[in-house]
Amino acid sequence: MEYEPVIGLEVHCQLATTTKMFSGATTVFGREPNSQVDVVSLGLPGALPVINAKAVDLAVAAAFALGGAVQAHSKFDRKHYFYPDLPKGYQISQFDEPYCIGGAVLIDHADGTTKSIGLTRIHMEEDAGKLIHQDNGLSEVDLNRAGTPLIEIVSEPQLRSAAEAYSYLMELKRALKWVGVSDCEMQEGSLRCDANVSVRPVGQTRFGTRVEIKNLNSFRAVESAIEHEIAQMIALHRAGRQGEIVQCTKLWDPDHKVTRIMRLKEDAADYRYFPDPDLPPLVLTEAHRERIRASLPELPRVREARFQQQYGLDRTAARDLTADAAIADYFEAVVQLGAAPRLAANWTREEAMRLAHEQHRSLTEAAPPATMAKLIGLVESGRVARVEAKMSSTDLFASSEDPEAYFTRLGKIQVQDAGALSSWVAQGIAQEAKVVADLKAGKMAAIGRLIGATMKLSGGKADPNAIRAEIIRQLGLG
Amino acid sequence: MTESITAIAAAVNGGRSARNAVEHSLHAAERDTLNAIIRVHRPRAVAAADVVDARVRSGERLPLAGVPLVIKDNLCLTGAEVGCCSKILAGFIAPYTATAVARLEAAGAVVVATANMDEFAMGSSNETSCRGPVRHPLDPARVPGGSSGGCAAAVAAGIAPLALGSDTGGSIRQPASLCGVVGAKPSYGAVSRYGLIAFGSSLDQIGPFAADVAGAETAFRAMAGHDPLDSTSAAHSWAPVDQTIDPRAALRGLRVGWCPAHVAGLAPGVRARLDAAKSALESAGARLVEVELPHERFAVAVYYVIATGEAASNLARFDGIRFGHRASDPKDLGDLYARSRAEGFGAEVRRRIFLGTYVLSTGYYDAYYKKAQQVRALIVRDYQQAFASCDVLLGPASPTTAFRRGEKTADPLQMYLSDVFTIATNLAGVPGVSVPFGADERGLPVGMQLQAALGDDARMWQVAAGLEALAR
Repeated sequence: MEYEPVIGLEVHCQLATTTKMFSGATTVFGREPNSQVDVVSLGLPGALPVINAKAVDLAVAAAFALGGAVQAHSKFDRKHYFYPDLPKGYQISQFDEPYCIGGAVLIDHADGTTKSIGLTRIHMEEDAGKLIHQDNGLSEVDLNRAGTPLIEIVSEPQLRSAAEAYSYLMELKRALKWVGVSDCEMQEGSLRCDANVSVRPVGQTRFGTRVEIKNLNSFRAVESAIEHEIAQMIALHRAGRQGEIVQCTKLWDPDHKVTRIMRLKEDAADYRYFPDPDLPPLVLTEAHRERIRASLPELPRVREARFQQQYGLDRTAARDLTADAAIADYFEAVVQLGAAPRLAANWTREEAMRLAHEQHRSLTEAAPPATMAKLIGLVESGRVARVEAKMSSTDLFASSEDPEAYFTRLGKIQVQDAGALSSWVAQGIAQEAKVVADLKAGKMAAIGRLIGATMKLSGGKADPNAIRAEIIRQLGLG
Repeated sequence: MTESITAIAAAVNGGRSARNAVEHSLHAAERDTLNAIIRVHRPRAVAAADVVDARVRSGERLPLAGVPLVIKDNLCLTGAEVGCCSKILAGFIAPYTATAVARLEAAGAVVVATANMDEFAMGSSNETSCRGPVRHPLDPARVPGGSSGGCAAAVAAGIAPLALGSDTGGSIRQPASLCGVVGAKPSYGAVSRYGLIAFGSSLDQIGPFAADVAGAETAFRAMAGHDPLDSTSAAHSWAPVDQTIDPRAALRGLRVGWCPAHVAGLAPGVRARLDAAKSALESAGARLVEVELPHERFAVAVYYVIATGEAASNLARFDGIRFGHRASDPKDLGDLYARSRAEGFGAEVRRRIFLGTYVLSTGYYDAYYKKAQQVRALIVRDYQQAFASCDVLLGPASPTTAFRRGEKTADPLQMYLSDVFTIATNLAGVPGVSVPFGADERGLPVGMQLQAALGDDARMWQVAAGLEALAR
């Protein structure tokens, strides 16, 4: 019998605000413990929450970027549990009236097909702090993260493999980063994911027993943990031991690549949700929602499709260039400055991104679009050899010299003079009788040697493409 | 008899040293025999009085210049201990000042002391305090009411002319009535709750105690107004009472509503005073209108679901982790929580946490909390309908005068019924004030409650001033 995995993801995404969800305390990552706190985030007696308007706007932008229906009216609820990293004894969240319902994430399969993964809902909430466990058995509480604004994006159980879950997360990250909602760094915890996994015999409509996996702190961990869990569940089914699958919460152990049971369903807490009496309902007027919708940039999948149509790029190039809005903007800036789109696509993906990465700078800082467009122009017209341009690019961009002046100074501008080219090729043909004979016998692979010899005669100034064409012309090989 | 708020402010604005009034009050607080005061802020008060003097010298005229102020032990004051008269907060020092207190200070008031209260404002007799009971100023065997019993007793005994309390179901109005002072709960949202240690967030409101209506109203206006730190504070402007009108004259043509249902079960002395108030108002030209609040009879039940649900949630932060009492040698985290809270909270607070936890539990939420909110909406509607036919509602603030200490402690339900006339006010969010209106046969004070429509606080104060004039 064949088995089918059923996966749903709950993704927590930290909103890129400078202050907390319900107070003015700052949210800088990696600071001294308990330095990013105030009376509200410490949960001191008498302190009251005030909704961060910027966080709400970012959450709404995220909802639009994911095609969700932003609700005119929603509310905040208290979710109760006792834990030392939760200063008030409750977390402010949205329970039965989230601010966004529905939405979808489109994922691409390797075969070129696209699948839509529905979203159940998105809600806003505040983060908890964290515990730092010491070797001496004591635990310390750091409340820097407590109160940080989050959105939780809940998918429908429509993912069918670990690879799909991975694609879903990558696509989600692209969309959220794109509209500036979050930096989506799993390592820093600004994107976190819990996976609900079950398997069932193909054809069965009822869901199998579900396991929730937590502690997935990298994209690869999500994929590996789900793969592991699915394999384990299918093995139990095949052995007729599916009854041993129990509803529970598991933790992923990345060192041993296994999932371990953290708590069973019967231990689940009663969160005693009720509407937070300190906060009025969240009302988002039509005008407010429209203002945010109108301020959104062209979304990544739309831009990706346009790049293919408008610039004739292949799917991979279009996808690479829309991994990030900064890359797409850079590419289009270079094209606007006159560079041929396909060359601009290659040079952006290869050289500009390499330089930016090596130098930890932005694309425009590392390789200014104007310089890049001129460089591409020189390569396109054949005045600078592509290999030469690539080899020199680090130096060229570091020098901030005009590309034309730079290559002229180095004597690397290729001679386009037809007379000189013709005479170098004639000399080459005279020198390399053996190669000429091979070529005439149809062994075209030999042409490289003749091109090389001619290049040498030109002192490296000739364009190899032009040499090739001239050899073919002189020897009548066309 | 201490000077009135109006007289002190006028004198200090006129050049008399604020130190003078403050010293008088500090002295009285330090010699308090009622257990009304649990903490005196002498150095802070003396320094603050000097600041007021300097401000007056520089030309400022302050509505509460040099007025000594006592605050309930659930209001935060920077650098001062605050504890809700509970062991669980032992040693906690507030790092910030409540907006209401800060605004009174800005208006010239000087905090001299912290007043005793029922633990976490849960009680109607000031007997649940971990600091011991407060004695009634007229009879030490009796209670001053609660939960703001220390505030009411302090004003009644002349320790300070102004006190700041909180009222979740009658905690200002009932002790004001029992002690014979003016005590008001403003409209919900009129005064910021920022810095008030929460009991029932949707019901809590800070309000003043004073010997007279004018003083209480001045303090109210100094505190009222939107606070960006409290999302439930109203963006409403709070008009002052027109001082040029004779308060008695303002009663002419006024429609005063009263509920016949309120008369049943009243102590005879209270009932006599209610009748006296009605006829005095009528003689002054007011028209009495019978009104009905059909769902008010559910108010106590609804209140004990909503208030305890919110309290169980609000009190979750007292967990022994960051501040206050922590059990020694816990064997694990669960034990730390369980024992810190069991040791830190008193019996009444524990009872209400249990109740509140129960009503919010999955499977019970719909039957209790949600149902209570639905009935609350009906009570809100009752009030709206009542105020269509009258301008203010008149009734007793408490069914009895001050009762004996220990009289109701054995039966929580009896204690809860002390607030039968004040609870619906909080559920509806409307303003209410208790105005002294004579005494019963034993000479114990009786307060009349006036309620007005939501946001109509100015009218409530206006009529209160008229009723006060009639009582003289």
